[in-house]
This record gives sequence, structure tokens and C-alpha cells, in this order.
Amino acid sequence: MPSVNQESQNGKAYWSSLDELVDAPQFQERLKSEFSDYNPEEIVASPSRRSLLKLMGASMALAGVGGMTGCRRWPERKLAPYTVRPEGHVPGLPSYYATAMELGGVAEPLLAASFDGRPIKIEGNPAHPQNGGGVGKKNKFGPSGLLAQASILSMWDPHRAQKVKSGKGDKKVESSWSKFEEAVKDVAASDGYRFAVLSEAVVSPSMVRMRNVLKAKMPKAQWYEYEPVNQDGEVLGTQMAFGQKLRAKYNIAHAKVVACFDADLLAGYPGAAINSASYAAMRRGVDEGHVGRMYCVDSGFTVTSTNADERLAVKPSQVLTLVRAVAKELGLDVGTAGLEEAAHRKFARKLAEELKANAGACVIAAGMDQSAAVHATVALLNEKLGNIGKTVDYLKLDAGIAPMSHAEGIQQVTAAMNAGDVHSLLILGGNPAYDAPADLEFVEALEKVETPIHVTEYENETSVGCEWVLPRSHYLEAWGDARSWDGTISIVQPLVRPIFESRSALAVVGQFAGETVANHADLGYKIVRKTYSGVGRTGRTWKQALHDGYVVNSGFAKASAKVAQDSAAKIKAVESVGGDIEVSLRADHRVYDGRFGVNGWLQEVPDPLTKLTWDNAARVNINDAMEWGLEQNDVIKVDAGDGRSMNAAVYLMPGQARGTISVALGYGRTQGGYIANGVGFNAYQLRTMKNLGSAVVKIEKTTRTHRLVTTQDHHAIDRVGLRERLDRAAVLSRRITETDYAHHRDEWKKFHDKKLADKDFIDSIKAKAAKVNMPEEKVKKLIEHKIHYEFHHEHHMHFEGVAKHSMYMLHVPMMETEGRKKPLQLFEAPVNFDDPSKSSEYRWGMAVDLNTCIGCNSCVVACQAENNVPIVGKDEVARGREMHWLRIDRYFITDKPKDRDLKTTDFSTAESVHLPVTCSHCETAPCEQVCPVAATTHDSEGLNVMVYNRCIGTRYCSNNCPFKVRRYNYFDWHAKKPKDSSIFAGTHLGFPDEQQEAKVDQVTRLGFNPEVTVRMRGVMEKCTFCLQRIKAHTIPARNEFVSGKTDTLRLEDGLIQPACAQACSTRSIAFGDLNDENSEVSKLQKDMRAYELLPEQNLRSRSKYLARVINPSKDGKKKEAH
Amino acid sequence: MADAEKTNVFVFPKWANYIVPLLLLGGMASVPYKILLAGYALSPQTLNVNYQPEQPIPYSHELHVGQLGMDCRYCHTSVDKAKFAAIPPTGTCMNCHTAIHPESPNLEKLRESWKKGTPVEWKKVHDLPDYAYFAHDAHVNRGVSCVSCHGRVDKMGGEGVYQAKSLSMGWCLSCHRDPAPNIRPLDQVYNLNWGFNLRPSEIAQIKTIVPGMELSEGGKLTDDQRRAIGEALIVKRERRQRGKLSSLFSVPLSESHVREVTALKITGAREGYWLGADALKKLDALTFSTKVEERAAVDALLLSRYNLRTHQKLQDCSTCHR
Repeated sequence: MPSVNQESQNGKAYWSSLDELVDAPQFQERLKSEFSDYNPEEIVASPSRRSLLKLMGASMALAGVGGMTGCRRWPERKLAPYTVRPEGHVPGLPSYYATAMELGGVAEPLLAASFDGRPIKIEGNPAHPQNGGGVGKKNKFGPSGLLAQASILSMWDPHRAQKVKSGKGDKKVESSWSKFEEAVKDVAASDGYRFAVLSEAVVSPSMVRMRNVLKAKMPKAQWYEYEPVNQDGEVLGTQMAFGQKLRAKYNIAHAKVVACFDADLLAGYPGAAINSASYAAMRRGVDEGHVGRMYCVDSGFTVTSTNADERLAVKPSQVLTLVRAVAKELGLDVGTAGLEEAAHRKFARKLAEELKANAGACVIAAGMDQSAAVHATVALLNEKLGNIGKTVDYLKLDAGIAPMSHAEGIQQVTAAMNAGDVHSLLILGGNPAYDAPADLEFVEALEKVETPIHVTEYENETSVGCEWVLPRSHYLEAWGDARSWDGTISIVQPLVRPIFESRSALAVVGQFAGETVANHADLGYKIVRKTYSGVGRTGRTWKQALHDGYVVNSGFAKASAKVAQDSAAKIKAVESVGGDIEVSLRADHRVYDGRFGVNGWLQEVPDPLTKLTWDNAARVNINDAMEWGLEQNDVIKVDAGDGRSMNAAVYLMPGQARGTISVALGYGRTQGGYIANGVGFNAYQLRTMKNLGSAVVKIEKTTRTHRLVTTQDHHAIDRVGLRERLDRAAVLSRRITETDYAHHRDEWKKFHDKKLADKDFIDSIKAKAAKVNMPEEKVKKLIEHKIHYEFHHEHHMHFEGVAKHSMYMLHVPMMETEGRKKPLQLFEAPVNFDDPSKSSEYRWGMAVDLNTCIGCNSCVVACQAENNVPIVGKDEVARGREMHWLRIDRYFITDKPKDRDLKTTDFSTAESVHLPVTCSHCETAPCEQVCPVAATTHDSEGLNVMVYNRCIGTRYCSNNCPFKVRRYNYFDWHAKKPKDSSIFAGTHLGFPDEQQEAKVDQVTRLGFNPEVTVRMRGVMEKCTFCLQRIKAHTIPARNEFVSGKTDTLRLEDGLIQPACAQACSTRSIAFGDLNDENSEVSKLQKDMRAYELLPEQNLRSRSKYLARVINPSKDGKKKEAH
Repeated sequence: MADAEKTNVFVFPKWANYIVPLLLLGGMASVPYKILLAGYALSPQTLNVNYQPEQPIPYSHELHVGQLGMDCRYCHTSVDKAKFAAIPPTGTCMNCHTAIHPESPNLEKLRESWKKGTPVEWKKVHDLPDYAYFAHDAHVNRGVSCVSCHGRVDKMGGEGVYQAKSLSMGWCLSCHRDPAPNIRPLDQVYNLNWGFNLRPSEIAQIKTIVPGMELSEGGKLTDDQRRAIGEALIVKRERRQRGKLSSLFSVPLSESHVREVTALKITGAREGYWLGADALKKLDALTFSTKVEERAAVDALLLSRYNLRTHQKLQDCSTCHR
């Protein structure tokens, strides 16, 4: 009996929730049923007679009406063709347009898919240099981030600001643009006296131009810029170090050492896609023996630091001390280090040693929220180590960008407002009433402005205080331009005319600046066009830029970084102020600075680390919590002094530094609309001019609790309890150290060479083959196969945390069928995939490389957008009913607590692993065996498919799915509002084929992908490997083949990209045809690191995973050992 | 008195005793009848076939296609390129109708659309459920004619197009299980009259596909003949796709393999053994054989072994459901 030998796993435990770690009764309870908390009586909130009768009546009515659907032809539908069809447009095929989304002054180059004039999906732009495209380069991979993926939901959001409104406070009345123009006529004609603009970051060339035109026309007007999440630190830091405002661009691909000082380079950073792509390139180096190591210093886990090889959890204030210590070790004196803890000193020394040894091949980065001093030190270090020009480029910001810091911007505008210097304030986007530093009291200042005007996509806290609320267009509705992180200009190209009465911020400014045009809808285009004709981009070059999505060679110039003379002295002068408990305030991974709180997809996608949905929380170190007497869900008062305090629910977070609390910004909205209101806790209440990134606080436990909903225990692969799970998690998400991996590869090489030289071995095989007349190339393959087989029997890869004789690493028992030995199978495969004459021309498969996967969630939302996956709301998530087809399992690794006493474990040194899980399309799928109506079946290409109209909702399949990837529609989610907990929510009493029309919002429906069925209540659904995308290529391929235009059905590798793979910035997901030996996925599935989930069940999964290679320093290894 | 009473009292005749049992019997018998009736009334055959909504413009396919001989693709341009067979934009109609019948009252709505830029709102006749994904291009490019699903549109006049087939799932499957009768040469896909009134050129073409088929000018193809043509076309495709025959036997031979190889007049096949190099070479030579009898044997083998495209694959649920 293979036992779970706890001692053999060097005392490490893999777990996903604390309940699990201590095997709490509630966890055991949850394990019992997959559909946790499913209790019909609870749903009938109070099981009174009345509600029961109501329920019965409704269900009978439904059944009666449902049964009668066949009695008539379904509703009449109309076909409305164009009057003149645009040239080149084929109805029924999507068209793609290059565009860009600007966020915080940084553009993400995108490609938007439009179906019959409706943009329905966002992809990254593969032609853009940032994504590996560029002049003369062919590239088919266009990654895109989480926020860009979700932005399509906002495009079709009925909650957007739709009409011009005027009036004070809540008493706003509908108005119109013409009335607004009339009202501000005098201001627009004035010289700008007492007129001010408060804008978001202005980087867009057209906006910069408009600002200059406006200033020329209204010389007395003031222009301020403010973004709560900004690059002040970097701009001021480089100014301090080099005497000029610069921007750092990293090239991690060839770096040997990456040091991140509180920098979430891979996800929470502008231009994160560039960083994560080059990070992945660095990680891929392990197969060629090029090894990189990533050091991270921060107070709580970020996406980046979960992927670090070495991580140190410190208080926010200690980052500066630590970076000074590293600088000192490297011979740069920028102030005293004064590191108190030995571990910190050791870390700094170690890091400095490695940086020195790899001078010129390292990347040192500082986080957005870190002070200018940290940025300056980091810049000086990069300069000193000779990284500039190799792994780090400093780019010179063009004139007009970042004229003042954002902190100064908001401070000055509030001062001017308070002083009565502002009569009319034009607020372009943003939400300063909510996110301005709390001590500025922006709301009070706003009251002193006679005519505040807010141009906004959604009505928010700021709109309430404004006289005029002007609806702002979505970026897919209006012309504009923007610059990506390296400065390359992208034209923001609209795909539709505004669906509401909205205009772009650019057009509004243009109007104040005196730009006129016959039809106002053309104003944005005119302004943008003029910006480029001014610099000679006309005719062909303009069209080319529009088509490709970028303007050639428009990036910022590289700066010659000369160290400013007084730089060190300036840094020295900065003091870092710390305290016993520090809170770090960071932009949220999902809702950013709060503006995406209105987006249901982003509210519901689980946070990569906490797995929280519809909430933020005060993340507290577990040891601290035990000391302070806090438990999960307790509400604490976080007091930053000066009357600044907030309440927040406690989330016990591994990897959190002792004495720190992390709270994400962007929650606790009060005027954010239906989705955003009342979700989470507002951390801006603590953010003052002095404490922008972090604050010293006191905490106090209140008597309240707040239910936090996380998905971490949902859909657990193992249902047999803790002891099994502890052993298994390391097998599910495998890791191997670089040393062990290199050793294994050496062993393999040696073994292979030895066997090939072994004449007896070869001859015996050849003799056997000759007996049955086996052809030559088959013999070669057989030899290779035998060597592999023997090698793997003798040599196991030494995965971290996996017991040497773990039962889950054993081989599947063999059985004999038809005289041939085969691994034991639970079920017979519905299609004989082994016989090439029986299976199809394609065998689809997937490979997920955990070595490069950073767990950023982009794939989850991309899948949601592509496949019309609904959101369910917090209450339903709590019941385990979230619908994401793709989930990212996250396990923490800590020392195993002794005697179930958590105090014996140091949680600040926790590690974390990710494992994206979706349907594996098992060739012998257990789900298919139990479906009573054959609604889930196998197709000849190996896809496990769902036939929705056949499904009767028994949920047997989900019960029998070992990976727990099937999702059930308990409600008509698209019709049900996420916060409506009534059991009749979304219920439609009438013909089911009229349900969509009657119940789902008209605007929302326009955003659905027409290529994917919108599922109704009562059916099971799951990943299809993006069947619609497969068909979009296989059907034309076969058409061409049949008509004789091509001679093969084989598709170019990489042509079909499921939504998850396409969005992935690290290209961790490979998809393709396993019949094609040269496809990326075939190669990856044969890789040494490849493994199947739950191999002991021999389900013949079509997805395989590649183990992650970690590269801790030798010291780290020792640390792990004891 | 008693007698008088007797005469006045109505007495049921004896046969009346049978009324109740008969009624009961009739009632019982009517249950299956009602079920059958309901089944028939609710079947797609009853509900959907011959559905012919009134269209905004009395467009006649009979006139444009049947008499004037316009190709389907002149208007339905995307039928061979995309899933969706596009309804023509107003501009397509106006190509001719600015000159032909520019004043016709029937075309009032067309001119209005042209002037105002608003679409002509046609009523959808052939409407599948939203969970069924039918691709026009996948059919017309593989030799399935428009006529197979839409009927003789070239004979539908000004009262509008009607639904000729039930378009139910069972109806779809009937062809997906046995597509051969509906497969025709690719250049005849849009010829709605193909096989009804054979022309010499058509006969010559068919003879190149199925040599020796008996056909007469002006004649009609029988169902068997259509099937034979379809099968020949399918096999021809499979041969190209699978390439060399030797790939069929790249495994140790099973009993059925041995039989198949022997039927191709190749010696030396033994169960449990691999085919020798010589035998493989001979097989490859057969792959593109031009001799009629050899080809028939190879075709039979291909059909028996590579039935995938016609049966299993065509019935994959993923073919239509996503």
C-alpha cells in the first residue's frame, strides 16, 4: 500500500486554503458534495407554504408552456441586408480592425473582431512591434491583458452613461449636447480665466496637441493631470538620478538576474505584456541551459512574486532600506542601510553578489508605488552594473508628457478650487471625488466650483458633484490615438458609431479649443487626422498606420543616461518612515484603480492570489493574525491617524510580510452603479498626499464580520481529504529545481548514449523486429521508445515535494487485450484513436507550460468573452456556481504545521504555484459514460463535446469528472442580475425561444459571440477547445482541399488559437494537431517535463502540463532543506 | 293507470346497453389516435414545410433564376465563402432595376430603401435553432447542391420562397448518415436542374466519374445513379486525402488486413507481421492505379476502411453544435 509518507516530503505542505491545511470540519463538509451548499430548502428562502406553492405553480407553468413549444413555428425573424455592402465585407465572417486601449496613459495595441458591425472580441495586435510584429515581420501571436479582454463587456454595458445630464447632486435631469454647448458658450469663447481642465494622464499625441491649441486659444486656462495609479515614482526617480524624465523598458529575455523591488512587472505594471513575454523567454531558456533567476522583494504576494525564485517579504518602508543595502554592497552609497533582521541582510548580500557576478545581464526594477528614492537608486544601480542598453533601456519622454507629477496635479487643482480660482472645471474621465488623496478633500473643493463638468463613461462619485455629466465614448466608438509603453503610437480606431449619445474626451476638448466641423460625429477623426497630416503621415502612410495599428518608428528615443552629480546626495536625504504595522495600498489586479469596478467579469474573476471574487480584503499575515486574535472574515478598523481610517474584512494571506496589511484600491464604491456599488472596502480613505503607496497604521478589531467569498476550495480535484491532497498537490502542479532538471537531462543523455552503444540491447530489438518484418524507420522509433521506457523506469524526475514512491507517480497497471499489453483503461475509448485508419485527420491537443505560466487570469476572461460565459454574482459564487470554463488553481506551499498548530509555521516565507485547469478532453472521458441522454459525446477529432439541446441537467457528468471542469446553469444567468438573489430572477414565463428576447438586455445581447450558443438554464457546459475557432479553419481547409486548391488538410501550426492561448502573453498554452509531429503542441507533449493530470486513471487526456523549473539560489536550497 | 304509465314511460331499447361500452371503447381507441394526431401536428414536417411568409417585395426566383438563368451566387455572394448565405444588399438589385422596371409598383419598397439607406426587411424562411450551426460553405464546396435543402427555388414565383424540407435534425442526419445521393460534381452545385433533364455535356461529365453508367439525353437520374455518382466522388476525395495505400498497413497485420491485402493480389501478408518493403511498393503503385478493375478493388477497400468522413465524422455532434 503506497502510503502518504509525510516525512519524505521535506516537511513541505501544498494547500489551497487554511481550512484545508488543518483539515477543518467545514472543509471536509464541503468536500462531500461538489455542488457545495446546494440546499433546495435554503433557496426557497423561508420554506413557507406560500413560497412552496409559488414555486410549484411556476414550475408547472414552465413545464406546461415548455411542452407546448412545438405547437407553433418559432418567432418570425427578419433579415436586414445592407443597402450598399462595404467592399470586401463577407456577411457571416468577422472583420478585424487594429485599435488600442489607453489606460493610465499607456496603450495596449489591440485587434478587435467585428461581427456584422458589432465588435465582440478583443485580441492583442500581432503586427505591433511590442508583440513581436513590426515592419517586415510575420507574427501570429497577439497577447492581450485581463483588462483589455474585459473591456468588450463595457462596450455593450447598459449601465454606461447614456445621456447628457445636468443639475446638482442627485437631482439631475436629462439634457442634450446642444444645451450643454449653449451653456458653456461664454466659457469657450473666453480667454480661459477661471477655466481649468482636470485630465487623466495625457500621452496621446492628439490630446497633447489639443491641449496646446486650447492653451493658445485660452491662455489663462489651467490644465492639470491626475491618475491615482501613475508613474510619478519613476519619472521623479529618473529625474533625481539622471536629471531627466525617463521611462524604463526592460528586456528580461536574456537577463540572468531579475530583481524586482516591489514591482509587479508581469501583471500590475504598464506594458506588462512586454515584460511577461520576455520573462517567458527567459524561463524557456532552461531547456537550452540558459538560466535566469528572479528575486522579488515586496510586502505581499503579487503575480510577479509568486513566480520568483527567491522572495523576501518586507514592510513597504523597508524596500528603500533594502535597496540601499544592496547598493552599498555594490559600492554605491545612497544612505545608510540599517537592516535589522539577519534574513534581510543575508538576502541583500546574496542579491548584490549575484548582481555583481552578472553585471550587464541583470534587470533591476522598482514598483510603481515606490518612492522616487527607490526608483533613483534602482536607476543608478542599472547604470553602475552596465545594464543600460543591454537589459534595460531608458527612454526619453517626449515634450509635453508628464509636465508635472500627478500628485502635484491633484494638489494644485484642489488648491485652486478652494481658492475660488476655478469657475468652470472640465474633468476628463477619472473619478477624483473617489480616488483623490483623502486629505485634499476634493469633494468639498468641488462644491466651490460653479460649473463642474464631468466627461465620463460611467456616472460615478465625481459625476454626482458635477453640474454637467457628459457621456464619454468607449474606445471602440471614437477616434483617438495613444502610445504604448515604448512610445510607439497607435491609432485608436472605432468600430462602431457611439451606441449612446456619447462623445470622446478628445472631441470635447477639441470643441473648447475651437475646432469646428459640420457633423460633430466627425470631430474626433478630424483632430486625429490633422495631428498626423501635420507630421507628414498622409495617404498611404496614414492608411498603413491605421491598418497595422501602429505608426512606424514612433517610439520614444533612447536616452543617454548620465548620472546627475547630486543624485546620491538627493537620495540620501530621503528618509523612509516605517512603523509596527504598515498597510500597503496597491492598484487591484482586477478593477485597477476602481474604474473597472463596473465590469462584472472583472468583479467575478477570482483574484490570482486570494481567489476572492466580488471583494477586496485586508490581507494579513497568518502568524500576525493569530497574535492579534484575528480570523478570516473579521472586520478590522485600519487607522492611519489624522482621522483617516477604513474598515476591512481580514483575509489570512500566506506570503504576507509580518506587520503588514495589503489592501487593494478600487473597491467600496458608493456611486459606481449597480455592479460596483457596495463591493469591498474603500482603501482610498487611507491614501493621503503623505501616504500614497503605504501608511503606518494601527488596527482594531470590530465586532462585525463580513463574508468573503473565495473560489479556492471550489472544484477541488481531490475529494478524499487532506492527507491525500497534501501528497497530491505537488503531483498536480509539478515543480523541479533547475539543478535536478539539469541533472536529469544529463542522466538521460548518458543513458541514451550508453544504450545506443549497447550492441546486445540493439541487436535483440532488431532481431525481434526482423521476425515480424518491421520496417526500418519503425525499428528506429521502437529503439528510441524502448530506451525511453527503460530510462523512465529507472530514473524518476525529482519533483519538489513529491515523495519518491508516491502512489500518484506509479505507472498504470497493464492489461492484456487481443494479445497486446496495454495500460489499464477505465473505459473503452469511444473512437479508436490508436488506429490511424479509424481516427480523423486531426487530433487536437493542448500543452500548458507551467514554467512560463504566471497565473495572471487573462486566459480566464478571454475564455469568458469568447464563449459567452455569464457571471453569477457573489451569493452564487459562494454556492460554488461560478461558470468560468477555465480556472486557475492556486496552491500555497509552506512548512507543514506540527500537530495541526498553525503557529509552528512561518507563513511569510510561503511559496505559491498555479495550475490552469480546463477540460482535458480525455479520450476515455468518464463524463460521457454516465450521461443518460448522450448529451456529452466524443467526436472523431478527440473533442469531448456538449450538445446543449440534448442535456437534461442530471449533472451526473460533472459528478464523474475527475478534474471538476463542468459547469451547470442553475439559472438563466444572462437574464439574472448578479445581485438579485430571488429564485425567480431571470425566470421567463413563456415560450423558451422568446426568453432571450424578453429577458436579456437588448444592449448586452449585442455583445454575445454569435458563433457560440448562449446556454439556457438547466444545461451543463464546459470548455470546447474553442470549437468555433477550430471549425473556422477546418471547414475552409477542407473546402480548398475538395476543390483541388490544396493537397492537404493539414493546417499551419498556430493557425487555430483558442481564446485562452491567444490572450496568453507568455504563450504558455499551446494548442494544435497532435497528428502533426512538427506542431508545437506535439513537441511539447513529448517533452521531458510533460505530464498528465491524474495519470493513474489513464484517462488519456488531450491536455498535458509541463513541470515548472524553479531556480532558487543554493542558499535558498539549504533553507528549504532544514 | 298502470298501463297508461307503462305506455308513457320511455324504455331504452336493448341495444342501448351497448352505448356506454362502445363509447368507452371509442374513447380508448382515440387515445393512440390523438397521440398520433398530436405527433403529426407537432412534427417539423407539418409545422415547417411549406412555410411561406409574405415578403415585403414579391421577388420571384422563378423569373430571375428559372427564366433569366442568374447564378445563385450573383446575389447570395457569401454562400461559398462563409457560414451564412448573404441576402443581397439593395445595391445588388439596383444594378439592374435602375434601368429595368424603374417605376414598377412592386419595387416601391426597394426604391425607398435605396433612397433612405434603410434595409429591406426580408422575413427569414429557412430558420434553424440558434444552437445549430449550419455552414453553407461547408456544403456547397463539397458537392451538396442548394436544391438538396432549399428545393427547386428556380420554380418558386412571386408569392415568395417556401420551405421545401423540414430542416429537422432527423432530416439533417438522414443525409449525414448517407451523403452519397446528395453529392454531385462541384460545378453542378448551383445548377438546380441537374439530373432532371440531362444534357450531353452533363452525360459526358458523369461518364468520366462513373464509367459505363447508362444515361439518355433529356433523361432523369435515378436515385441509385445519384448515389453511385456521389460515392465515386467521395472515394476520389478520400484517395487524395489518405495518399498512399501503404499507410493503411503501417501496423502489424490483423486477420482482416491479411484478407484485404490478399484481395488486392499482393502476396506475403501474414497475421501479426509487418508488410515487407516489396508489398508496400506494390500497394503504393496501386494507389493511383488507372486500371478500372484494380481501381474498383482499391475503392472498395478505401470505402470499407475510410468510411469516416461519410459516417462517423459527419455525425460528430461538434459538426453542428457548439
